[in-house]
Formats: sequence, C-alpha cells, structure tokens
Amino acid sequence: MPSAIRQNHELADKGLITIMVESQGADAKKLEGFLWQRFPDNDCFATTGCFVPIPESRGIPHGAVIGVDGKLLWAGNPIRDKAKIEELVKDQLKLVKKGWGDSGEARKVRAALYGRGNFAVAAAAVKAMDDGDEKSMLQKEVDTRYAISKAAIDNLIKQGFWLQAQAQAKSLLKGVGRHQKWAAEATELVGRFDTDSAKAEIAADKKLAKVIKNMRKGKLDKAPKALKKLISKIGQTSVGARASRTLAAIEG
Amino acid sequence: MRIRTLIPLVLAATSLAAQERAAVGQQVPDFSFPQFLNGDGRQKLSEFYGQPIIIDKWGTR
Repeated sequence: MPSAIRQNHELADKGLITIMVESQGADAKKLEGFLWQRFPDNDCFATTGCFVPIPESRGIPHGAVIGVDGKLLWAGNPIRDKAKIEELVKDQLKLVKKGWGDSGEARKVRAALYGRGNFAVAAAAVKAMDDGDEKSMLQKEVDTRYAISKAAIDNLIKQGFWLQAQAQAKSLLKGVGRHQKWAAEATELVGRFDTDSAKAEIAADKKLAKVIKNMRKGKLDKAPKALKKLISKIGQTSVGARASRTLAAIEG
Repeated sequence: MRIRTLIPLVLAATSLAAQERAAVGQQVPDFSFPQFLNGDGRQKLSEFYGQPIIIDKWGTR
C-alpha cells in the first residue's frame, strides 16, 4: 500500500490511475477514517466492498495492472512483483504519450486525446480520416472522453472539490480549442466559477486546502479543532459539507 | 430438500463468477465501483480507459 501511494504520487500526473479496493468488509466511513489515520498522504481512488473481475487470490495484498485498452496485463501479489508492475506501468505510460493502435491515425488521435488532453486535435484527426470502422471507433472514444471530462466537473462541484473542478474546467477549455460545439460548452463551464456563490465556495475550498495539506503530512492532532472552526464559518457551502464529512471520518 | 435446491444455484453462481474474471491478456469485463473517496465521478472501469490502471486489493484489519 505505501509503495502504491508513492507510485501514484510520482505518476498520477502522467496518467496513472491507482484504485485501492478494501476487501475486508469496512464501510465507507471506516475506510476514510482508516486512511486518514494510517495513510494520510493517500490520494488514490479508494473504495470498498466490490467484486473485481481479475483472477481470484487466496488473500491480500492482491492486485492487477490493466492496460490503456482495458486488457489485463498482470495479476498477483503487488509486493512480490513490484518491479514487474513498475515496468508495465512505464510501458503503458509511453503508450499514453505516443498513442497506440494499428494505424498512424489511431496513434495520433489517442496521443492527443489521452496524452495531452487536446480534444481539438483529436477531433480534427478523426474528421480527416476515411469513413470506416476505425474512424467510428475513434470518434466514439473522443466523444466519450469529452463527456467524462465534462461530467467530472459537475461531480467534483457536487462533492465540494471546487478548486479541482475549476482547474479541470480550465483544462477542458484549453483542450477543446476552437471546436464549434465544445468551445461554447467549456466557456459556459468556466463561467460557472465566476458567480458570487461559486467564489464563496472557492474561497472556502482554499481554506480547507490548508487544513487538508497539514493532514496529508500526518498532522491529525490539530485537525479536528481546525475543521470545526472552519465549518462554523463555511458550514453552508458544499465545501463545508465536505469538511464535516472529513471531520466525522477522523473522529470515527 | 432445501440443500438440493441450493447446491445447483451455488454452483451456477460460482461458475458465472469464474467466467466473468479476466485472465492475463484478456479484456477485463466492465463493471462499476462503489462511490470513491478522492473520486471525480467516474465509477465504471471503462471510464478509465486510455490510462493504465493499478488495482490494489487490501484490508483494514
């Protein structure tokens, strides 16, 4: 677990996704509290209680590496096979950067889409392709990725992650370039952060970020007091609701 | 009687679960994760395609 967290710190911005799945029956609240107490620097996706369709194991730790195309590349004990995992991830991140597929067009589209988040270049490259199955498949990938990126902004806002949502909206706006439909949608999304209520949420999130930063360093002893003080000031915001959830998790 | 009824059901469920697991080199069947901590709204495995994914199963006990 600590090595997975460290690897995620190093490689998440290059495209690595690390998903922690608790498999001993903890509920979401216990999971969050446990992570704060034992692994406060964890920023991986974390969840609990789900079936993962990878080869079965007799115990934990157990893990898998899934490639950029959704194929299983490895499954086993992540401590025993640490070097193998690092090698596979390195190779897959090269694919993210350079693109993959049977044709040069496919590699170009995917490098733009997944490697650089450049929806405009990816869409233009698909448009220039001859009609056929490959073009349809890549068009679907571009549309799906755009829809996921757009939906993520709404989801982050709902969860009280306003700073992250704003950064994602700006990145999306940059990525869609002058694409006729997407540029208008992304401009509207970025504009949502300019309202008075959004500005209040962003200001609250900046304050919470300072508390979380100390918590990530393992300084949890002063966190309840800091969170309570913050909640008394920003309790009505979605960031305040997030701060309350965090407080409940660390107080058990 | 109850056991006789249950055994085929358990075997069928076990067999189905075995079929749904990917082997190395195969496409991992799509499925949904429960709500994530540190998530961005993506719940289905397929929504992460285009990025390498490490799954780490662990325990809190």
